[in-house]
Amino acid sequence: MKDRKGNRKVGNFCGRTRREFLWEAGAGFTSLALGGMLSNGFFSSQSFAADGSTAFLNPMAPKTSMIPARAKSVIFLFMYGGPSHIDTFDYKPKLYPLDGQNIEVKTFGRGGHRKMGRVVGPKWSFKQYGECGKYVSDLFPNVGSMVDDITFLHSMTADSPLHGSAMLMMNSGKLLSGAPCLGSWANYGLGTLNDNLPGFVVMLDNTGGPISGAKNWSSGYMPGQYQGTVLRSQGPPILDLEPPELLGGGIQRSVLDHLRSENEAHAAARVGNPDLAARIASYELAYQMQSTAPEAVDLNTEDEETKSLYGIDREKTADFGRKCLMARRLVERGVRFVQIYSGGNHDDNNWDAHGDLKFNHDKHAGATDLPIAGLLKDLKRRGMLDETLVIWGGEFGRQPTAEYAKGTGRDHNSYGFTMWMAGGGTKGGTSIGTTDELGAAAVEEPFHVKNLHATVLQLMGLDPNRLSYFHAGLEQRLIGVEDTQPIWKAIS
Amino acid sequence: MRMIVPGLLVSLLLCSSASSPGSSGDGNPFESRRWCDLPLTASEIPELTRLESRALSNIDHFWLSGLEQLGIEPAPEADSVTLLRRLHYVIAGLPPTPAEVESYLADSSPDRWESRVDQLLADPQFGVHWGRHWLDLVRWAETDSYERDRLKPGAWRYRDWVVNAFNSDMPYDQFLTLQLAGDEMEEESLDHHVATGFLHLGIRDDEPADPLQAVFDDLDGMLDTTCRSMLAISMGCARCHDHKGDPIPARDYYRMLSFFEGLKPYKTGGGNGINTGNFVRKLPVDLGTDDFDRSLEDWRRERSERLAEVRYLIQEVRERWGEQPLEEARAALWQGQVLHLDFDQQNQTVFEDRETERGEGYRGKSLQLDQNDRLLIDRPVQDDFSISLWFRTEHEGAGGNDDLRWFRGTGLVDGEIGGVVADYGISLVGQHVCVGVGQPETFIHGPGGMADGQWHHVVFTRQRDSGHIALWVDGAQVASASGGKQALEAPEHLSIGRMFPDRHTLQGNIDEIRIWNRVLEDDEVLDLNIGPGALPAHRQLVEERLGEAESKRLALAIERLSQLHRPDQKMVQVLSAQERKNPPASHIRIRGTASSPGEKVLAGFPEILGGGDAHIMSPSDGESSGRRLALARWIADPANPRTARVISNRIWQHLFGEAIVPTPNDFGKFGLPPHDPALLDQVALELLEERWSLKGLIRRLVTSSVFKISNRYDAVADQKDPENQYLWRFRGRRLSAEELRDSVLAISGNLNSTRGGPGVFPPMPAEVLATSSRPGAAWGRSSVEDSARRSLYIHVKRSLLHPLLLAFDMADTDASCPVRFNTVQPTQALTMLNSDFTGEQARIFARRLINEEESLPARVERALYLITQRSPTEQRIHDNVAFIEKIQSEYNLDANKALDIFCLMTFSLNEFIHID
Repeated sequence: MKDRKGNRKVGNFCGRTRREFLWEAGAGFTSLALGGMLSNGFFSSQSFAADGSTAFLNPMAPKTSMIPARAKSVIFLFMYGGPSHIDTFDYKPKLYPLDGQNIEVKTFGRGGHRKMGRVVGPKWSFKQYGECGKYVSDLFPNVGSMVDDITFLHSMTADSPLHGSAMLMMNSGKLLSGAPCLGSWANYGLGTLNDNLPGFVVMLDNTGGPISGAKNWSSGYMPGQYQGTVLRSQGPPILDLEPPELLGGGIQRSVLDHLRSENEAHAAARVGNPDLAARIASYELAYQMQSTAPEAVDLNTEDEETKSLYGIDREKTADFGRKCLMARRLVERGVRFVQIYSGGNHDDNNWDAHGDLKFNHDKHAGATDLPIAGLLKDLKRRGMLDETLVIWGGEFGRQPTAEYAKGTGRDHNSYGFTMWMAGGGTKGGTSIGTTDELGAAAVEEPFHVKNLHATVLQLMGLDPNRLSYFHAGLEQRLIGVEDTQPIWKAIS
Repeated sequence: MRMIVPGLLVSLLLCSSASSPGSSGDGNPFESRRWCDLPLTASEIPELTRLESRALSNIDHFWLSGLEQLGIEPAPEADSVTLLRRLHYVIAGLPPTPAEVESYLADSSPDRWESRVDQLLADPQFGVHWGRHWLDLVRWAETDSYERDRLKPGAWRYRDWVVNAFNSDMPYDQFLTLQLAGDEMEEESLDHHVATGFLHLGIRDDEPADPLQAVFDDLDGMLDTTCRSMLAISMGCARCHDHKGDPIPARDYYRMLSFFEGLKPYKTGGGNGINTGNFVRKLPVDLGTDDFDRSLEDWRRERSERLAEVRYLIQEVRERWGEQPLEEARAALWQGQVLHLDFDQQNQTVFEDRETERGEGYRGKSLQLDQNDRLLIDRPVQDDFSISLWFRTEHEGAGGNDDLRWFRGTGLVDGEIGGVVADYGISLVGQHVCVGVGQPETFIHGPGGMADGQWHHVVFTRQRDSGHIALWVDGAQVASASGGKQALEAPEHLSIGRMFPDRHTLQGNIDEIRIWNRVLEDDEVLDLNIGPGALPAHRQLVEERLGEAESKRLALAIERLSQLHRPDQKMVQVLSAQERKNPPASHIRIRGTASSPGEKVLAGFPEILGGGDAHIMSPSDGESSGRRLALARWIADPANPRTARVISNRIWQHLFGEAIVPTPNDFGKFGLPPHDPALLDQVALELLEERWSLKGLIRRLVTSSVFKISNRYDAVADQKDPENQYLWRFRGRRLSAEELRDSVLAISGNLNSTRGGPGVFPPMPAEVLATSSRPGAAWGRSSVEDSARRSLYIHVKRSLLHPLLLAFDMADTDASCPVRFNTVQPTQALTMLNSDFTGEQARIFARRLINEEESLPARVERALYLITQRSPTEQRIHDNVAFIEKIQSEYNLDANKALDIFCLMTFSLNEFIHID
């Protein structure tokens, strides 16, 4: 059932057979499964590839999108730890005069459920920016200059105000670990546009990964090719990408040539084992990756003006700027999903401002404001912003009240927080939803993380309610059991 | 008459209701049930026509009859080396060694295959390999996942229990029963508790947003894993609503969940604290045997006999001449004593006294301590010293029984100062007295069993010149070591009954603290322990007053006493089931929401398997409800139509590459049907004939003809059965992640096949460590030898998985993994070519070749033999020698380096990575 291009015709499960799904659910059939990876022609796999030199067909080969796609790629700027929405993009003028007062407000965070709290007035002033006149705090003056391209989602909610489960929810849509992440779903649904680069790339903070580490870019119950690849901004970008000293200086090519002749002789005596050919081809692809991946992240070919745009010429912003520029280069080369972490490790190494809000947010906003604005500007002037969706936000926001008796620290808040999107088919210059006057909880048009995920899938050309993966007896979906609507107002 | 239907028609037939063996006829109560829920049926052994000569077993008859009906010829028997390699991998997960190949080929007896099978099944590496198959199903990992990704204490003991169960060929019904309800068995043993670790292997959030929901998520993990692994029922699908594919109402789910609802929860309070005591027990290693009690009894008897002798002689002296000469003989003992606290008077010199009280003492009164009490004295000694004390407690000291370092425990006489500094102290860690000195940190400890409510005597001595430290417990020296030689001056004060940094107070009594600025002799320690009588001066006194014969008698008794060691009782932490006193009533939870209880339900079984309430009997010890045992008995009943089929299907899967039901965790409608249900039933019946012996069934299968066919391609057969469901040829496969890493180690010659014990930490690339939120503290560091252990023993941390195992599709750690993915990815090639691990192993492999062979062609031949278990052709040796010489000259390499490169290349040979 293939058309002339070799693509499987649409049947159920977005053009795939139930058997194929079952294989991916874990019911692997060794050589048969490998045959399936070699071609979309799952059942005919035993009879081709007998020549022993069939080219490696990437299991992540691009697929036809389910619905018209607006965004080709996603860059998710993950503000790990939970940035305070009321100190950044959600202007609450009535909160300032309440500073220090004990008021009644329902909160739920690390410190449990509370009914009262001491208000911490916003620590920065807000100014209006752009044609839309959006209020943005002094933490993000550069991002402020781009508000006409940004769609603010002020009424986000999540199921958990605790890092462990909230991180998993933002990344995988589930509170329990073991589910594939958003980047895995995008690659599963669409395939990659570049065989020589991973389709789901994660860049971590220099202080370390977020809590739960690799769970935040895991492919969960999907096979390994859908998991996020950690890309480093210094040194060899991918683990084991660089040939070791033993294979340096071109020796590796000689080894590969010899290996190929050995393996071809072996395969020639074993007709009807397509997996052998696939493995031979995978070594050639690995070889190509060794040159394409470093090129993709090599910033030397970028001019000084561009580097400066991203803040790479300043100490404070150089690191995040480099990552943002690398992200643009990766997206240019067809990487589907790039996630950059601002903040890692624990305590004030990320946005988790429990103690001194001023110190914490000055530090992290200071390191990211210019690079983020630079990324948006650069994407825009290159005509890439239209097909690149940029997402900004953390796993939750922060409470209007103090966590402790003293100090300016705020506890976690999943009742209401802000995320924003730019490009990739979003409207720009728009704010959707509101929190109450204190910023404690979403009131108008509340959206769940699932709505955000649905919006991302929709923009990428995937129907969030139809994109499913058969696992453990269920058609699993990123958005969960209940059908979920994208945030239509955000889409242009 | 069996019906064999080619291809996809089978699934259609099976999806209709009445296609199963023995299910024809009107009024059959099983009519509406699926094949897998009907009793196992013995079919007539099919008669063969054309292929009769290929059959070696009944199972072969079933297999061949399918092929006959399809008109397919099975592949011929594979050659000896292919078979041997296949056999070694499926049984032990390792390639045969050259000696194992040679001895097999040299064996001309007709039963050489059978004897090799027996030999391999008896090899403990069998359990290492097959244990891993089971661990895949139960999502075994050693941490909880989430923010802190906490260590599950003693999870490795469950892994070892599984390995041992396979090795000892524990009957499968017992294997399942112990995992569900080992603690509810009449007979108590450590292993029975360890087995119930099965219930605690899942992911667990220590800081859930909805605590009640988290309790039910945990229970769901237990139920769902039980049902998938043991019954191939996707029970989890019925949590929120009736199952969409199978006739399993949500009510069945909650009736089944009830079996687990008595278990104590992972956490009860808020914050991120957990109740470790709810799922971890501290148990004696020899629980269930009376070894410890017996040896303790022996020790007591022997000691009291010797003591009686000493006391008899001393009493003679005492009665005739009074206490004075005995005490006078002790004069030398008190030399150098700088402090004596007997706690008989209130006003003894102390630096600080916070709320301490006096209680009944070993002699007179004693110091009685509780909670935050604290007593400090000035540090009286720092060079040579001896410290003697008596203590009594019923409470284990801090720090557990696994890591016996003095400063982790509850202080007795302590001067612990944080950091590596010149300090010293005595503490109770768990059940053990531990002593130590700092800079360098030096610790020794005594036997366990100290928190028994009896008085115990402790002496700690230290000699500065030699750095020698020694510990005596109850009069006998139990340990010694060499520490630093500096003055131990770091602590200004010593804390009595509490760790000096103001934590961990003894709940109990301390008495008769004596401190000397010299090192006591053995007999001085004994004298302090048993009362006057053990000193040379006492022997002299006895000789003078009672004669030489009595003096010798005394000397002998003293010598025997000083050699008597109190037996050690080791306590271990075990991940195990524990129930609350009164398990709650069970309810349906509406839409799976824990906080929405609906109709009350009783523990019972799914309707598709006959339903019915469970017959629950509480075990006599009253510690649990007996619910899980009732579930276990029902699952392990040979009449349960699923249990034997499910495990037989898995055994088939691991031997033949694909199971008869290709979805081994789901026999329901969302799974795939078996191409031949009668074959599966035959295999399951043979397992029951073997009385649930897995080794017995494996033996039957691998000695059958079906295991021995080659994987030769056949275009005609391919057309008729393109998926090779009927096994017209053997299914070749890639090595699993563990097999691959273990084989690289084995071939390089440095595989460490030690079994058991805590997980090991092979080097983790810095790039991977950097992904952890605490890169510096994320991973341990094992020795080179431990790093070369089999992959099963690599510590499994959910948030930081081993990159090589991950690249080659290791089992998902968070959900039951019935079948490994088998992907081909360029990252795998990068791992094989560029990783530190393969580079290092290539160098070790090359050194092995240099040691074993002289010439380059001989080394190449040896390498290829080790990698493929076959002698390479002359041409192939020549080609590879030419390759080595070419890179050597082209890149101006030395000969050793060229050989290293060749060795690295061999790990990527498909002939190595694939099994035919």
